[in-house]
Parts: sequence; C-alpha cells; structure tokens
Amino acid sequence: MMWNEEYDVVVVGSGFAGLAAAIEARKLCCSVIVLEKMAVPGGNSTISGGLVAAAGSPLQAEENIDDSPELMLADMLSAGQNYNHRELARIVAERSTETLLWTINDLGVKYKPKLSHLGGHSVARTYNTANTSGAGIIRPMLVRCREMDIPIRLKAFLHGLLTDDQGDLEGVEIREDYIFPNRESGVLRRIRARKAVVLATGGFSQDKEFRAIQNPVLTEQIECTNHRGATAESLILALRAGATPVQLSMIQLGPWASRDEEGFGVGSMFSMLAGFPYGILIDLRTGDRFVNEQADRKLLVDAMLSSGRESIAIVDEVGVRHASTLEQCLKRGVVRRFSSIEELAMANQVPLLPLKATVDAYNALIEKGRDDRFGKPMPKDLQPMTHPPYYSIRLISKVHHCMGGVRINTRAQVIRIDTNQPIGRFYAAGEITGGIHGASRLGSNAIPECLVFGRIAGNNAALEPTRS
Amino acid sequence: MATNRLVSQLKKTEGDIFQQWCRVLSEAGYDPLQSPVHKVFQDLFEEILAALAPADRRTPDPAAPEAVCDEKPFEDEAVRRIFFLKTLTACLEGKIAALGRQKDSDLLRRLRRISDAMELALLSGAGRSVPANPGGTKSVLDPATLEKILVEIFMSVGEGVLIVDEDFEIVKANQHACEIYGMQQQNLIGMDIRLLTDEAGGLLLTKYFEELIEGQRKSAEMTGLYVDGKAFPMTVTVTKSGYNGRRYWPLIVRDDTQRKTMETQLRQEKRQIEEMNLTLKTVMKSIEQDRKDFESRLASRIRTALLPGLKKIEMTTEAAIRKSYLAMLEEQLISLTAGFERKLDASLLKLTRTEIEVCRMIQAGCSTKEICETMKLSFDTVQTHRRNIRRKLSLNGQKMNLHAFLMNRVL
Ligand SMILES: Cc1cc2nc3c(=O)[nH]c(=O)nc-3n(C[C@H](O)[C@H](O)[C@H](O)COP(=O)(O)OP(=O)(O)OC[C@H]3O[C@@H](n4cnc5c(N)ncnc54)[C@H](O)[C@@H]3O)c2cc1C
Repeated sequence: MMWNEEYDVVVVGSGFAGLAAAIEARKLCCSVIVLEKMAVPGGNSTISGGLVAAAGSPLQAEENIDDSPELMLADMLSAGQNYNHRELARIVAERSTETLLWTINDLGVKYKPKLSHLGGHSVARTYNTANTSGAGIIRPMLVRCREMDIPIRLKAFLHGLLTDDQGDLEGVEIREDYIFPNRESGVLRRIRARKAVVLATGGFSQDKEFRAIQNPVLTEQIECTNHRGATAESLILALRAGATPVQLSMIQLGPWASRDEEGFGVGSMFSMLAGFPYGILIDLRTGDRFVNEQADRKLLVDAMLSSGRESIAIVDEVGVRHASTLEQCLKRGVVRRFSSIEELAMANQVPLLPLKATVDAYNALIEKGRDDRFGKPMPKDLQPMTHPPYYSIRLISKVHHCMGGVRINTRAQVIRIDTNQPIGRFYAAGEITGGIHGASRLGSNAIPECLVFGRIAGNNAALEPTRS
Repeated sequence: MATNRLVSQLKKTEGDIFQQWCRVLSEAGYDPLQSPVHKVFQDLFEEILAALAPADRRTPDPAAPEAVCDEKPFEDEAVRRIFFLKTLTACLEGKIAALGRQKDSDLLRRLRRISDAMELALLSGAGRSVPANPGGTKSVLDPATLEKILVEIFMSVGEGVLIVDEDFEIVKANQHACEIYGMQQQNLIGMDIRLLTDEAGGLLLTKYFEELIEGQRKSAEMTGLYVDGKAFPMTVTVTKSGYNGRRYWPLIVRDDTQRKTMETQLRQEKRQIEEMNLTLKTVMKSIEQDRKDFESRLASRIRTALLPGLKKIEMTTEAAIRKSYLAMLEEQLISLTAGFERKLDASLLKLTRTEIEVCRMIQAGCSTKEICETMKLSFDTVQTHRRNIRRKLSLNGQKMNLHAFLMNRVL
C-alpha cells in the first residue's frame, strides 16, 4: 500500500476525547497527528456548557457534600435504566475526580467556585468552567497541543479506515482540504499509523437521515443542539471495519433548550442552572406543573412531549442568581423579565388563575418542607418563589446526545463484532462509543467520560509496538 | 376568490367570534365584562381581516385606541395589546377551522404571519400598521428571499466580518471570521471582541469605537489571538452604524500572516538583489580599474623602454649597436608579457618563419610525413628544420621530445 505520510498515532476528531488521547499519546511517542474535518477545531466539546461531574471532589469537601464513585455510578445506572455497560460506567465514576484535577493542575482550566446540582444526580457534584463553556477546557487543550508539537490538521475528512492482512488498523484515508459538507471535496491521501488509530469523532445528532433510521420519532423537523459536523459517516466506517454497534437508537433530547434561539444557545444553561433547580416547569395550557423539574432528561422530555405539551420554565429574582448566562439570555430575548406573575402569564398566554395557584402551592411546599407530589428534591437552599421580577423561558426539546456508538472495552479498544475480540491497533473514545450511559446520559457526565476514555485510548495507543 | 369568501364569512360571524374571545379572556383570568373590550376587539378584528383580504384593499390606519382598561392589569400597554391580539388570533384560527377550512394551511399561515407582524409592530412601538396582504403581490425578489441571499453572502464572503455592539460583544460572525480565530460561531457570538486581541489592540479598538463617526472607516494593524493562544498579525477595519437607537461596529478582520511572510520574503529578496548589485558594481569597477592600470602601464613602458630603442635602431648604421639594441628590445618585450599565463619564450624568437610554421604543425600533432606534404618540403628538409629547431631551443642532447616542449608555448 502507498502511504503519503506516517505517524505513530493517528487521532481522528478534535473534541475532548481526541485531544485528551493526543496529549496522552504524545507523552509516550514522538509523532501524533489530530485530523479534523471542520475548518475550526473543537466539535461539540467547544460549544458545550462546560459542566463537569466529579464524585468526591475538593468543592464537595468544602461544601460538606457526601459523595462517592459508587453513588455516581448508581445515579448513572438509574438514569440509564441499567442499559449501561457497567464496567465502563464504573471507570468514568472512579476516575472523575482524578480527571477533573488533571484539567485543573495540568491544563490550568479555571472553574467557578461553586457546584451545581443537575437533574438526576443525587447530590451537587457538577463543576462549571469559569466562562460557562466547554471552550474553557478545549482552549487550554489546544494550547497544550501546540506546546507539545501535535499538529491539528483541519479540513481533513476521514474517508476510510485502512486495515492490514490480519484486519488490524494500519492507517486512514482522508480527504484533505475538505470543504464541509461537500463529500466530494478535497484530495485523497493516506496516512499510516505505525502504532494505532484513535477514533474520537463524536456523535451523530445532526445526521437527520441516520438518526431517523435509528429512531423514527426523531424526524427532520426536530431541532438539534449540536455543531453541524456531528454526522454518522465515521461511525459507519468503524462498523465496516468490523466494530460492534451498541444501542444506536438511544438518542437523547435536551428538555431545557429555548424555542427562541437556534441550537443550545444561552437559554439551555439558564434552564439547567436556574429554571429547573430553582424554578418550576409549567404546561402552557393548564398553568400547572407536570413533572419533577430535577428528573433525568429522559423523564423530562417524555413528560414534555406527551400530548403535545408546550412548556415554559419560571424562576424568580432569587433563583435567577444561579443563571450565569442571564445577561445574554435577556439581551437575546431568550429569557423575558416581568414585574409580576400576571404580566408573565399574559405574555406567555398561560391562564392566570391556575398559574397563580400553582406558584402558591409550590411555595407552600417549600415553606412547610413537605414532599413534592412529583418527587422533586427540596434542598435546603431552595426558597419560595416570591421575589419579583419573574423570569420565563419558552422551552422546546432538541436532539442533544447519542448514547449509542461503537463498543469498546475498558482499555478503549474497539471490539470486533464477529469474534468479540479487540480489533488490533484500533481505539475509540467519546461520544462515538456506546453503552456507557445506557438509556439516558446525566448532565455533566459526558465531559468526564470523554476525557477519561480519551486519555486511556491515547495511552494504550502509544504503548502498541511500532510497525516496521 | 376563496379568500374573499372566507373574509366575508368571518365578517358575518363577528358576534360569535367576539363571544368566543371573551370566553378565552375570562378563562385566562381576565374579566372582559369589567372593562369595555369591544372596541379593542373591533379594531383588531378589522385590521386582521383587512390584512387577510386581497391586495387592492388598503389597510385603513385606524387611530390608536384609547386606553380601554383603566384598572391596568398590565404595566405595559404593549404586553396587554399583544395578549389581546394573540387570543383573538387563536379564536380566528378556531373559527376558520370550524368553517371547514383547516386544510387551507396557506391561509392559516398568513393569518399567523399577520398576527406575528402586528405583534412585532406592537413590540417595537412602531404603531399598528401592518403590511397589507403579506405575500399577496409577487415582486421579482421578495424581501424574504433577498434577506436570505444577503445572509448567505455575509456568511460566505472571503473576508472575516464581525459585528460588535455597545458592550463590545460580538453579535454576528461569519464563517471566515470563525476560521481566522479557530472558533465556532457559538463561541464567538457573545464574546468580548477585546479577548481576540492583545492589550494594545483592545485599547485601540476602544479608542476607535469612541471616536468613529458614522460613515467613517479606520484600519489598524494589531495582534490577533488564535484559539490555541498563538498570536498572529492582522488588519482590522472598523466602521460604525446605528440601528434602532443602538450603535454597532462592523469589523472586517484579515489574517496577515501570509501577507506578512510574503512581505518579509520580498524584502529579503530585494535586499539580496541590492547587495548583489552592489558587489557586481564594485567587481566591475575594479576590473575596469585593473584594465586601465594595465593599459597605462603598458603604454608607459612602450613609451619609455621600447620606442627609444626602436628609434636608436632606426638611426644607427652600425650592426653591432643594432644587435645590442635588438637584444635589449627582446628583453623588454619578454618582461612586458611577464604575468601572462603562457610565457613567451625568448628562445622561440630565434626561430625563422619556416621553423615557426614547422613548430606550429608539430604542436598541432602532425607527423613529419604530414608536414612534408602540407608544406611541400622534402623529408630531409623537414628533418633539417627539426634539428635546427632543437638546437635553437637548446634541446640538443636532451630526452625531451619536441612536441611535448612546444605544448605550452605561444607561437
Ligand atoms: C451544546 C452542547 C452542550 C453540552 N454541554 C455539556 C456539558 O456541559 N457537560 C457535559 O458533560 N457534556 C455536555 N455536552 C455533551 C458533550 O459536550 C459531548 O458529548 C462531547 O463534547 C463529545 O466529545 P467528543 O470528543 O466525543 O466529540 P466532539 O467534541 O463532537 O468532537 C468530534 C470531532 O470529530 C470531528 N469529526 C466527525 N466526523 C469526522 C470525520 N469523518 N473526519 C474527521 N473529523 C470528523 C467533528 O467535526 C468534531 O470536531 C454538550 C453537548 C452539546 C452539543
């Protein structure tokens, strides 16, 4: 076979998983390259909310929050409805704090000094980057890559996974100078991997055709939070190379996204950090609550989508303090501010009297410390919503995350479907892999997962014997 | 026309619709009986129907309604009116459906667009005029298409374009700008423009934003920062524009890395060429100088040493004197040619013309036989010449062969 170039380790994808793999691999071997089809690096990772879960973290110690990897694993299994590949989920939970500390001490990532409690987690265990964005982690990773002389080749589209006579991975075929999304663009080149290939190409939430094949409910009309390059072609290549598909139809919708902006925007973080934990979720037709706002995403979306419900989240002046994106939400008209519940009801066309009754009932629950009929956890810092102004956000569910993907083992090796054995010199990490989160991924669990398995993949790839 | 029929049908059922609307209002906790909402209803109803009707019917611009409800359940008049508008729209939708027209989705879409346009007008406080019959007349390039095209052009032009607002926040970024900074739109939008440059660049931008007047344009070179922290040279062109009472600064950003490297390369090449020119010039000069020196030396030697000797020879009749002058001249000539690569050999001057001819042929590698034929001489004569030559060149009794000796001599 004719090769245009050769590296020890070839990484495909420049998100959390790909960059973590490249950085780890480069510590052990001298030539690593990252290939990325888009014109800018970072994929979903750089537009993500930058929420990172860690069990047993320093901030938890400071806030006297009792947590453990076992508890985190239990939360993952519960949200995932036990579809999780347990041994993989366990690794994420066990290494979550070590990985968080790696981002702080090794990469210099800055986090806010306070934890958030996201839906489906038993305790507050979520760190958030100082700039409320995954870019707060991706940028230091890119800086590190530059310092370590790891080239990141943009506009390089993975077009083929090339195997040797034994079926082990030997390299990749790419389209160089590729212009997204034109599949015919670019020039074909072959890059050999002397040690191994790491596939870290993310999920396929933006692939309307492919996702509808896996789950026909997800029609073209349903919006999506992902970057435009989140498509399925690399997953298909992996399957063609013999990889085992896992739970491809488990595709998560985000319940917190705004109707009034595209994609993830700034509204999603508003709902996640303030609207849901400190406010209430209202059915527009009835003015009533209908679900535990802090439930896992799957339960929320199912409740929101049932019988064509339209919903808004409401929070008052006290609760809104947790929303780090508030300014931008107001500026962009994603969140609106009202001096009274009446005004809010009129503008959102919610029947006023039922809404008032709902708010009063909810406040009474908190004041009297009673249990919520939907089972919403009532932490001590929760206060009744009595302080105007009030804020509302109009919600719509958007396709967000692919729990399914290729199967890997605990060493991040891709497993061959016919032999149930690892495919030689082939690693994968991040959203391209499946099974870790089962039926539903908890918020802030993807970043630890991508970093943990990205590092494992990079490390093991670099330890492969060098091909002559 | 179907629409006309529908509009008149709706007109006929105005009373029904009003009652339905009042029901919706009271369900929402608003008491329609407490305040006279009928006038509001009539205004809105007429306005919507006028907009729905075909184009030739211009919308009358009704006078702004007086504040109908004095008890003011809403602080904001616009919010109240939007509420009325929305609920009425919903009633009309229901009515149209009831009239069996729900399949006419185009009509419903138009109704919603009219309602949205009225809402927007209310929100922006621009009064209540609604574009008459949106979509009714077909122009060559309708505004929606035009806007789409403009947005596409903005996104895909080969220059980086950013729009920055009063908070220094980027509110729009096109594809090329994203590539220049290595960031996705989602990351760029909402970002402080000053984070994309160094401190000096930030200060310069602040200054421009303060000083620029509308229509003016300023460019500056500054340092840009790529997503991985790498600094690069860039040119930023700032203009200023206003919209809806807010100020915006469109920025054209250009990555100068390539231009800068090309410029340095060009500069280097130019310097090299200049240096080369200079060396060549000095070399030429010194060659010229050498030549001049040499010529004047030669001339003066000829003047001082050769010419007087020749004069003497010319004037004297005495053989002995002539002979000695001739010897002197010979010396002079030899010394004059000193320094030439191949030496003029004194002994060669002793040869006769025929002997020189023979020498030349030997030099050229001719055999005695060939010389005989060329010069039409007998073998013996040539042999004699050869002997004489050897004698004159003092080669007698030596092993040196004539051809070899003559190799390096000038004849
Ligand atoms: C808007 C948003 C917000 C989120 N917020 C959070 C959060 O706060 N906390 C959390 O834990 N999780 C969050 N998630 C989920 C999490 O960000 C993603 O699961 C994670 O970033 C995936 O990382 P990755 O490295 O696997 O893939 P990505 O970051 O998507 O990177 C994959 C890269 O591979 C490239 N690629 C794809 N195909 C090819 C090909 N054929 N050739 C070459 N390159 C290719 C893509 O262009 C992309 O750049 C969020 C997700 C989104 C979309």
